[in-house]
Amino acid sequence: MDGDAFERLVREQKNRVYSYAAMMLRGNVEAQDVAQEAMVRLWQHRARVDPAVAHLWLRRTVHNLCIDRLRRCKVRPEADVEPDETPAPEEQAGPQRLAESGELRRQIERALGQLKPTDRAVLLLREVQGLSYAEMTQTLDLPLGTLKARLHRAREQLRRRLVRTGVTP
Amino acid sequence: MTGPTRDRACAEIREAIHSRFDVGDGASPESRLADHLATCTACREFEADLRVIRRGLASTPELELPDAVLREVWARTIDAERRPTPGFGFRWRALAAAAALVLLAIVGVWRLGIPEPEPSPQQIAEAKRQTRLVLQLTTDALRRTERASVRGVLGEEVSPALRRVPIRWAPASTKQRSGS
Repeated sequence: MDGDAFERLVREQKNRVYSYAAMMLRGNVEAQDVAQEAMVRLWQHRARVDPAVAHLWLRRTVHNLCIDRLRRCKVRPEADVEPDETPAPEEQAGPQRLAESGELRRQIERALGQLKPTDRAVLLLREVQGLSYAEMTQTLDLPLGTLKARLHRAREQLRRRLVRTGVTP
Repeated sequence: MTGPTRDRACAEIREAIHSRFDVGDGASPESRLADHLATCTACREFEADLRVIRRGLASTPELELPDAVLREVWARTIDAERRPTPGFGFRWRALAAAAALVLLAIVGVWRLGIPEPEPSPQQIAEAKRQTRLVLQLTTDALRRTERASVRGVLGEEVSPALRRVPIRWAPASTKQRSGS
């Protein structure tokens, strides 16, 4: 991969990988560090990376860096903590109104942050970034069956958390 | 359909609901799915919930990577590659500077002196013996010098003066002689 190809790839993927890292790490500053580090590593390994799948190599590097950082922090953001944000019955808005006001999306993002990192990752890649199963298996280095099972479990976990906080879609 | 049988059917249908969202990755027969959803409220709600959740996730805005971060990426990658490598002249200057530093270090050590090693016990004993000898010789020399001085005072330098001064010599008594 030459300099021009690298520059093109970085410009195409920079926001996508940054957004993914920000939602995984739930922090923009760390996400910027991770995105930068992943791009630099791609440059350093450019001779070994097939240009056709360099974007997946970049995503996988970002994902691995995020997992490493989360393990180092040894913080599983509220994954095992019962949510304490149950709104009072009179404050609960209907799902339609929540969806219209964007509040539902915020509640979904909050519940997403409470999932295990591995579950959060599959939801982000599939539902937010729109990757196919094939792309996801290459990014996460998981067999297809494991990937599907994890995705299904993550969706149900997310739904359960939303129902528990009173945000019933 | 009631009880465990229904639960099993619901579980299978939920898998099918998941798969329906992944069209092209192995969807299950639509007709069976539609028939079940028509009769099962729980699975209908489940499907509706997932639809809303997926819509919410898909509407998550994409963040913009700050320009400063991108500039740092270029600096560490493409720009670093394009920076000119040090040429022939630079290498010789670097070598000359290194040689000058080494020379300075040698001169500095030479000027400061290499510390002498600690003396051995034999050397210390020999030094003590020589010191005692010097002291003894010095003491003897001082005594001889004193006697010589006294002789000089009483015999040579002073005797001419004594010759001019009349001295009445009276033998001292025993008591006086003993110094009491």
